[in-house]
Amino acid sequence: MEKYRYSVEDLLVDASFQRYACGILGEEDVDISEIRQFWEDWCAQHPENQAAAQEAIELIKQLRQAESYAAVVPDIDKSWQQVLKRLQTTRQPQKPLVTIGWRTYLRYAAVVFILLSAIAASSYLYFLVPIEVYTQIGENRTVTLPDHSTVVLSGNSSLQYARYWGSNRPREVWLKGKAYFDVRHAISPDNRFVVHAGKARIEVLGTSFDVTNRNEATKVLLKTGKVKMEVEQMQPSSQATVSTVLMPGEEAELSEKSGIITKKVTDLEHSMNWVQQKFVFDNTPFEEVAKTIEENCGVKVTIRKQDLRTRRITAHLDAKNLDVFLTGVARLFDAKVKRKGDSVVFY
Amino acid sequence: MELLSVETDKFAQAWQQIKKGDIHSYEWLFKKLASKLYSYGYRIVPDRVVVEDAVQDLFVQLWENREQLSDVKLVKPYLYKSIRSRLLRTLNHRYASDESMSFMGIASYEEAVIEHESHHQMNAQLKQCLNKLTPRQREIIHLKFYQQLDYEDIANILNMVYQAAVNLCFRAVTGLRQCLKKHTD
Repeated sequence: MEKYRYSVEDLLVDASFQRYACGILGEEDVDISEIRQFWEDWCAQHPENQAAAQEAIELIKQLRQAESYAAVVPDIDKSWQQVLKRLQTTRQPQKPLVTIGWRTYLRYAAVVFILLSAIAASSYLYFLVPIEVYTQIGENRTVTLPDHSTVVLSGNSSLQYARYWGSNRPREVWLKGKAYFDVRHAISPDNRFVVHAGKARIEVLGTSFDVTNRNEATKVLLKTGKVKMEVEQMQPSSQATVSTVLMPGEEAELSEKSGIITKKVTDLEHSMNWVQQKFVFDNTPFEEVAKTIEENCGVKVTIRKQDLRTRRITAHLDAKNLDVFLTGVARLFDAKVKRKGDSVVFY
Repeated sequence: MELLSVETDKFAQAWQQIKKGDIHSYEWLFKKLASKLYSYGYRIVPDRVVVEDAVQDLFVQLWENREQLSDVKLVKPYLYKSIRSRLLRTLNHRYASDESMSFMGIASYEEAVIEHESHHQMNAQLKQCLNKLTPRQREIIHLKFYQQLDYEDIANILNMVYQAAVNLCFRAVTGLRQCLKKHTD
């Protein structure tokens, strides 16, 4: 066997030798007889290593002593009693205390800030965005304006106005389609009521009237009070305004193409019947009946039967149900009607 | 090696029993390891109250969370590691200290030395030489020769591989012997 001289360090770092040394120093509580036998045999077989082994054991002994001096060995039984005591006082599972660090705090603050801004922005928008009311075909809807004036909006129409009206500013509404207005008196001279319909600007001096803004023409029919109608100017500087003042029972019509206002006296009662969702035809040519249907019901009416166009009719019709209404009209004219979506054909 | 694995097995069994709520296994584990953990911890933070508190905290939490405990196979190094990181945390809180500065020498334990007068002369030299080692070298000497942990456990506690633990131990004993030789010459 080749002889190899082990250094003290070699032995010191050897796990088995360490256990042997601790064992013969009498401080190992496990049985090391096997290991002890091995190292004693080894020392006998390699006498050249005996000195190193002795030195290593001595150093380990001294190290252990030095470490023991530094070791603090408390009373373990007392310590165990303390642990038991602490277990009793905290028997209920403790919930960890939630400690909010500044980062978490900032995060919450940011969320609150965003929420507040969202609320601010939405309420700002809420006050700013105008109200828009739409009606379906054949539906009349009564709208109460911020100043408690009422509007009966005819079918297939829309009305737009600001959510809040100041008492020193004009009350303005924008109309598409047809509506009947019952307007409250102005609180101040600046508090006038203005209807914008197509190119027409209708300024209310009194109370109730009827506005139709369809087929590139705007009609105003006045029931009571006084209304001024004028052409809305694109540039304020251009020409003198075209305008007319209506008296009760008068109807004014503004043609969008020509910009001319024509005036006539009409049968108030019949013309206002739509407010109760009734159509009144008094010796009316069918062409005009078709037009009324197109206007109020939002459908395209085609007349296939040529002689129908000139025939006249006198009737009161309920317009709540378009199909019933159409069959009713067809029966009156002794014709047939077909409806497919937005297209109505008489034949 | 076989003997050690028997011990490791015993700890692992006790751990499983604790998970099931066996207070006797819990007591056995505490009485088996508490004093060792105290001794180890005292070298990291030389403050009896802090160390005893930390060890008791560790065991109290162990029992309170016994149902959620993971299956720890190497119980001993796990507990050493826990106490080590706990004490290092308190150190960092107090002194914002560097981890490598954490393992105390023996020189400061004058009262202990006085009680063992007969070894005074030799211990003084060994003490000086131990204090010249790096904190890590001192720590492995404590774990190896006082705590008698094997390299596997030490590597686990100090977050290193097995061979690195052996090398660290070799450097520690070499440095120690060189220092001692200088004193005797």
